[in-house]
Amino acid sequence: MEGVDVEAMTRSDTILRVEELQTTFNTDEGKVRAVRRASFSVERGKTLCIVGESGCGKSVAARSILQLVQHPGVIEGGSIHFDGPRGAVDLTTLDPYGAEIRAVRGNDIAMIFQEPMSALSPVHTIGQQIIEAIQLHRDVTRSEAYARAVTLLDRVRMPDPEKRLASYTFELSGGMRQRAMIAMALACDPQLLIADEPTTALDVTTQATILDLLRELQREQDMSLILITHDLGVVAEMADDVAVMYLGRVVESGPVGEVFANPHHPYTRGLLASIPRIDPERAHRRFAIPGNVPSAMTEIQGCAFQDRCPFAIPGRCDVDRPVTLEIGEAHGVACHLFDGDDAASPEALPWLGVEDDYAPSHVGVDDEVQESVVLDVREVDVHYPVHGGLLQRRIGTVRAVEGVSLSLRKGETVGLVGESGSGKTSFAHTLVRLHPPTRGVITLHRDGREPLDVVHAERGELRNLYRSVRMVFQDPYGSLDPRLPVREVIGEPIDLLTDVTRRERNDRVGDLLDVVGLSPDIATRYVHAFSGGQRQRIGIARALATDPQVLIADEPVSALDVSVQAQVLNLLERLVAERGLTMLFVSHDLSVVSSLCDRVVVLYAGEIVEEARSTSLYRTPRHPYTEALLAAVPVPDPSVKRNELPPLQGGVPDPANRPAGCAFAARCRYATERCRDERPALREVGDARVACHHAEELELVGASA
Amino acid sequence: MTNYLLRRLLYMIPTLIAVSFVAFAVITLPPGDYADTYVLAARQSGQVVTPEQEQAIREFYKLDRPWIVQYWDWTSSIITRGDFGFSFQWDLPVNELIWPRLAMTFVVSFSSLMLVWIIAIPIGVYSAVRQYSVGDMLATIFGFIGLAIPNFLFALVLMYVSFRYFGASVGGLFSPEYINAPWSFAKLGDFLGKLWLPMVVLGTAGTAGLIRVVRANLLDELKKPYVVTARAKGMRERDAIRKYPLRIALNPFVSSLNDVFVQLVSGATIVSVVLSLQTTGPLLLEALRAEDMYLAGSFIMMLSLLTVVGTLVSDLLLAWLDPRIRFR
Repeated sequence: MEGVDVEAMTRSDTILRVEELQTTFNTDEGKVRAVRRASFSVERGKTLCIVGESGCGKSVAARSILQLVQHPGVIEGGSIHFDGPRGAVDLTTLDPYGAEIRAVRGNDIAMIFQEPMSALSPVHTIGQQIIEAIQLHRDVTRSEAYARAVTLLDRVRMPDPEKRLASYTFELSGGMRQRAMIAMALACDPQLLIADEPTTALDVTTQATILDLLRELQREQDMSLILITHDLGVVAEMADDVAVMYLGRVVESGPVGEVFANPHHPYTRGLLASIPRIDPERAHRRFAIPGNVPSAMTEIQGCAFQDRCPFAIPGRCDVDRPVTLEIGEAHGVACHLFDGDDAASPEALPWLGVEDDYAPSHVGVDDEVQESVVLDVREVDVHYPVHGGLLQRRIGTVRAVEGVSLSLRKGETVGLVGESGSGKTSFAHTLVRLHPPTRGVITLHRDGREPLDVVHAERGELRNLYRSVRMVFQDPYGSLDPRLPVREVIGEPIDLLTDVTRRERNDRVGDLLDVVGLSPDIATRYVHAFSGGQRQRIGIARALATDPQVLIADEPVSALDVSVQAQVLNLLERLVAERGLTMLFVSHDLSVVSSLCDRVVVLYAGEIVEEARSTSLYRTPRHPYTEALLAAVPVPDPSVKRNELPPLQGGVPDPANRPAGCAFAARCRYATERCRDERPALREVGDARVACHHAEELELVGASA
Repeated sequence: MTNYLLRRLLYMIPTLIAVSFVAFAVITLPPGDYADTYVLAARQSGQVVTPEQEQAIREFYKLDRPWIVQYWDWTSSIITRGDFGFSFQWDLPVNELIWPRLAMTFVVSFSSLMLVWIIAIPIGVYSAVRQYSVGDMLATIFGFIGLAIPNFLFALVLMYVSFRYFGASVGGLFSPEYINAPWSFAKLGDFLGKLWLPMVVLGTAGTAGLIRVVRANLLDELKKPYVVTARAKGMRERDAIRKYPLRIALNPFVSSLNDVFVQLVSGATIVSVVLSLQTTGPLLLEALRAEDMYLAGSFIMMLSLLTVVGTLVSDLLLAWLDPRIRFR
């Protein structure tokens, strides 16, 4: 009797139970085992977060649920029990092209994706796509579907829903696109929503609003949610349960509080340790898991994590595949450290390895020592003309950067922070003359040589500029030529900008590879063979090739996994210290900037709104925008209630149509009449520069960590 | 959008002026003129042409004037009276010569083009959706063979086959008895019976090429995330492919429609010569050889005009199909 009751209970509480799922891609090169006997389950009305680095099979596992794995991928084994409105069914038994699975897709289980720009059709309006989703599963007329689409957009807090139905994806901002995607997924009131990295491509502020929205919708609709992410901050904020995936297997799972408070698996512990923390004092060392996720084509004997695990037990971890052990209430871990008689206690384990032995000991440049200015920017504007009309005459101006003054001192790392559209990248590009500034003076000071006028530099001088100021780009895939071997990629600036022989150049490339922690042997290989983190190291080596004074890093880690981010940040920090480099670090993520930069400059709508030393900026922000940016950073601790500030809505104003007063006024909680009418000047407030009328009166909330 | 259209129409004017100028200059560039060609032909047939007679011909056709004046006369009469000049060789106004030819060329080209699209697009889609299947391999083999065989050779083979095994009179678009007959159902039937040969010959290479284009474009689009989204909504595979990736895969195809416009009137010259079709290709070839300058110039003008118009139409069509272009 008791057994029956328990079964009935679990049936109704668990909406989806995935057991021993195996999904394999049979490619010409061999079998790619993306999912290797993964098991997890989702409780009704709860959120399961699946977390892990890229290449761990999270997305493939999620797509397997709806049988969306395309040829040559096949579900080779396991079961997916879905307890839907039409009774329980094992989804793996359904024909992937059949009517039964189609009745589940978009109806009982809906899915949203990472890049709403490419996941929505570029040639159909938002309305066409949402209405189609409704009519696929509901027998309603077009006008009824239209009315429902308006309701849906309204429910995802899309401003002006009727107008947006007629919009195309490219007319919307990233956040609005993701809202449209969510509205489409909600079209038929699904019982389970699968969200595959829904905020990875978004700004921190937009991420906060989207996560907020998902949480609310879930509560309103009593919907279950599978959220795939590599960001443990997001997990801490969203999850009821967590499943940590590594190379196609779930290595640890359990309730979020339990997993964060009492992590067992060395991989879970490594991921937790490598989360970027808001840490302007640099009290903590930045941890990183050494090595990379092995290719999904490797046949693994024993535990997949053994080669990155410092605790691997020879003769055991490389022989037997660890089984999942119950170590607490619904808390399971698949690791040999905890089975058998000699089971280890997680408290006794040290946290997973530091990347190298460099510890950031100095906190930037001493206040006392007035170091010499290397790059001096005075009142720079960057404007782009807007053309239109019959004769394509100039009809407007995009003011990407307005009146920015900033000086970078020798050996200093300065963070440049703002949302997309704030003018960060335009400004960074101007410093290396990728765009000429419309107005202003930029001077590069060099040891024992004439200062260089960056704005008017020509030919020879420009060569000197390119040699002295180098960039590291955001996308390590797009910024390295796939047709060149690594040696040529790194050697190109040496050939172009210096006069050394080929032999010397190749020696230098070898040294550079060594400096960035890669083997000099890889010089003859092509970049496609490397992971994102390795590519970014190659990008850094290329930036260092001409022995520059200034490094401009444009979001160098935002495309990387958390565990790899720490490796690259450690490397940059070490290089800056060892080589006496000056670095401008551009990012939208304040937590990344905090532990690296001496000073932070916050940019909004092309203007500096706050500039302060990191330590004071994070503790006592003086501009409401800085406060909002800090509040948007997810706190990687499920026990800490997030900052009570409502997430920042809307976006940066159109730079072609800037409001008259303070550019931030429309989104500011504290804005007054004066803010809307009068443009605040950047002025000294305490030890910071702030552009806010109310900087003195406001008591703003700093970072909670 | 209206602005865009107006701007494009304005741009057409200088383009056409430049084209007509260059076309006329190129035609008059080779040494000698129609009078030389005429005298040469006359002498070969044993007639005696005195220098005075030669000079009279030259004056009659105004060939002794500077070419810039000839150019001006020609273009101004086109614009004011729609008069394309006079063909020396045929002794007829150019207008009477080219319009029937253009109509015939249009019919032949248009029907072969339709054949190409009707065959190539579905095969291309099949090849992409079932990549590396047996059907895809066969389509690929057929495609490459079709691309590799020279059209004129294929025309000769087909002519031989239809003559040898079906006893059909070959060449031309009409049987001898209908050439000068007025239009009737019998003549139409005869015409349609003749039309298949140039249709097939002209269509093979195009079909082969288009299969590859459709296949490659669609393969790119099939990998896009929005296809997964469409499936995740619960769409039927067939509907999902037709509505999303196929729609977008046809964009590059639309943007190459301007070439099609030119093909429609230029007529494949070599094949037309081999099959002795009454299309524009052979006529233009002869006109150029005989230095029949107004006829040749008019053809070139016509082709240029259609290129310019075709480009405009395909751009407008593309803007209508693809909002990303429309909104820019």
